[in-house]
Amino acid sequence: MRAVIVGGGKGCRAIIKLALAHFLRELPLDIVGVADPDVNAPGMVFARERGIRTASDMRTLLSLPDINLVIELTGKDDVLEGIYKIIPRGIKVFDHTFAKVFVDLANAQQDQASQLQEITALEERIEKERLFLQSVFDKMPELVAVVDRDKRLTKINAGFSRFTGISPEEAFGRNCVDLLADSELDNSRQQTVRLLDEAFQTGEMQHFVWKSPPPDGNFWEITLTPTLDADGRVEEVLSTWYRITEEAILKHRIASAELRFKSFMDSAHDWISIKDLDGRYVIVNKIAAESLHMKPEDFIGKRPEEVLPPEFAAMITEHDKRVIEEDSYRSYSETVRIDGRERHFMTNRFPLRDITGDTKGLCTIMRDVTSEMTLRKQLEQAGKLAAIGSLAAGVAHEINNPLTGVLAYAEDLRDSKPADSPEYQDLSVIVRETLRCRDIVRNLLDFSRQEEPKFEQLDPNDVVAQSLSLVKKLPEFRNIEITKRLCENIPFIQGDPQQIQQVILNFMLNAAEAMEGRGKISLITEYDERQNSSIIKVEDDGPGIPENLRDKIFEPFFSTKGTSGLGLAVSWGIIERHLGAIEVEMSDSGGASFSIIFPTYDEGIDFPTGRD
Amino acid sequence: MEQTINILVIDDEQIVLDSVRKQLHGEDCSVQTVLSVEEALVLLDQTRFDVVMTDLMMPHVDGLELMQIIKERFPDILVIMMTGYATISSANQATQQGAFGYVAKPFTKAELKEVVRRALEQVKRR
Repeated sequence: MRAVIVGGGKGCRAIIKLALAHFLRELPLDIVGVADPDVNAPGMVFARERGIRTASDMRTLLSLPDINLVIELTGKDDVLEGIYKIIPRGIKVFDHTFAKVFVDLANAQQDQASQLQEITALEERIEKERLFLQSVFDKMPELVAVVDRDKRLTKINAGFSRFTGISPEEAFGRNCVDLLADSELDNSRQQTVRLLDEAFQTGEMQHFVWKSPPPDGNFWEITLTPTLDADGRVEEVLSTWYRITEEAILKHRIASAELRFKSFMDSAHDWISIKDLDGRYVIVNKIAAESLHMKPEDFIGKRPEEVLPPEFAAMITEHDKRVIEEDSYRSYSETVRIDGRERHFMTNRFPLRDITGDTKGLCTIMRDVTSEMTLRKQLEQAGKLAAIGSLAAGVAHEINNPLTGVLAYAEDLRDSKPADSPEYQDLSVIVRETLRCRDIVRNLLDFSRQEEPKFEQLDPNDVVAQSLSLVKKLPEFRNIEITKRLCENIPFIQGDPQQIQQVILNFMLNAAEAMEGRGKISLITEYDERQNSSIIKVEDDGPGIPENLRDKIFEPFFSTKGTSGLGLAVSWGIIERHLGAIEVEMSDSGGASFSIIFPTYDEGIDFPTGRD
Repeated sequence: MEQTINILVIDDEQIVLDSVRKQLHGEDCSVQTVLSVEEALVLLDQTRFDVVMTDLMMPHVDGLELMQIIKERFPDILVIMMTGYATISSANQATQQGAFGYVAKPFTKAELKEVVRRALEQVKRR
């Protein structure tokens, strides 16, 4: 439809654009001219630029042949009337009101066009971004594969493609586990599957190290990173393979070896330490430090004498010195006083060598054998007592008859001599010494026939009080000051009062003897909460018992005073039948301290009852 | 009328028998000794004894068994046990079962005489 526009404003320009864009499909417009008195109106300028005829007088154009349509845009009634006067019948006229539809259309078309332009620009940007990401993805030093829930590959990068020899297109949709199926390391495959499942289930990142089969043969650190969808569910897992260098492997090994070593040290029940050649601690394990109420780090860089009690440190230094000098392993039986108690250790000390064989330090492993040692001593003692007992009974029986003869004949002979003769004196010696033999035999038999205790519930303080009243009458204690220090509310014990008194008396007699009749004896009761035991102590301020004799004093016949040497052995036997123990230590004043340790009264304890 | 008091001593060792004989020398009694319960039983049938001193532990038949036999067959005889110190509790037991007394080996002359004299006095009182 050939049309002439009257009025060259913005509306005119919009309609020309519409027409030129063939936007009006049902009304294809061919604008043949634009008329406006203002030749510089925007529509006029635009028309001229597009090669469309323009005229300042509309009549010039309205007389053109083959015009089908006149579009009036001025909105002036006189102009419209003028048009009607000029144009022949049959030519349609869109007046100003109707023509506004074109303007709206034109504006709409403009909007759409600019939107389209924006979309195109966005698409271009996205594509650029995609290309960038793809190139990053491909150029990454890591091998990357993306796996969906069905373990199918959805994407691989160039590195992965090169490594597997499969193109990204070939990889798409393939099961990633099947890709590993050729691997000789079947358990790696299982591990991969397990960790993949884990990543999908937990949404947590997984790490593992994988050694690829030859010819590659490299170690790969593989990270499985779950990616989440909008609902926060794991959608895919990004599998990133990073090749580990030798150095990294070594570091990893060292770290895990260190971890293993630390866990070994800290789990050990033995006291373990390492010192350098200068005697300074390099490592001390937890139990050793804690047993000494310290932390492992308190030891580092220090010498024993800087951190330990002087006696303990001196012993360590001396033993260490020997090991370093001889440059060889040595085993020691060591006794240390910790928290006021003696602890026995079986200690191994040995030099530590580096790879070239040079000694670089010294390792100490101390095993606490206190309870074993105590038990062994008790067993030894019990065994000795039993052996002595049966031996004594046998010997005593056999010796009685000959002694009867010696005694009868010596007495008879003596009595036949005048009382003031030398023979009478000599024979009296024989009789006296025979009677001494008899006493020894009787002591032996007393010892072998130790009575079974008659158990009752006892207050240790009562036993002490009774022993004290017993002792006060004895001449041995005339010049000895005896004090009591009793623990109130001490738990009761199970025992035979006479026998326990006998033990206390034995200890006190020994003390009196050791002090040569002058000095102080303390009777003490204590409750040891840690061991739940009630303790009766006899302490003196005498010369004390040399450490090397402490084990021997309980042996039958051990005596430094020419006595029978059975008192302490008998005491030991009695306390053993009370399920107790005897400990000998140095008292605060340097004298001897004998502790009788009883388990506290408990109905659950099954005390032995009489022998046959 | 005065009659000699007869004592029979039984022990499986000769030295003990000799010792007792020596220690009782001069006492107002006659002492016979045998080395076994078997011999003692033969002698007991033949001779009247007032006191029997026997060792407690002997092979074959021991002192306690002998005492039982004597209690049954010769209820008037006083039995004194000689014992090693080790079996002093069995000596106590023997006393409870009717022994007149006991003496622990080795014994002095005084110890032996003390118990024997008590026995002799009891016999004499009859």
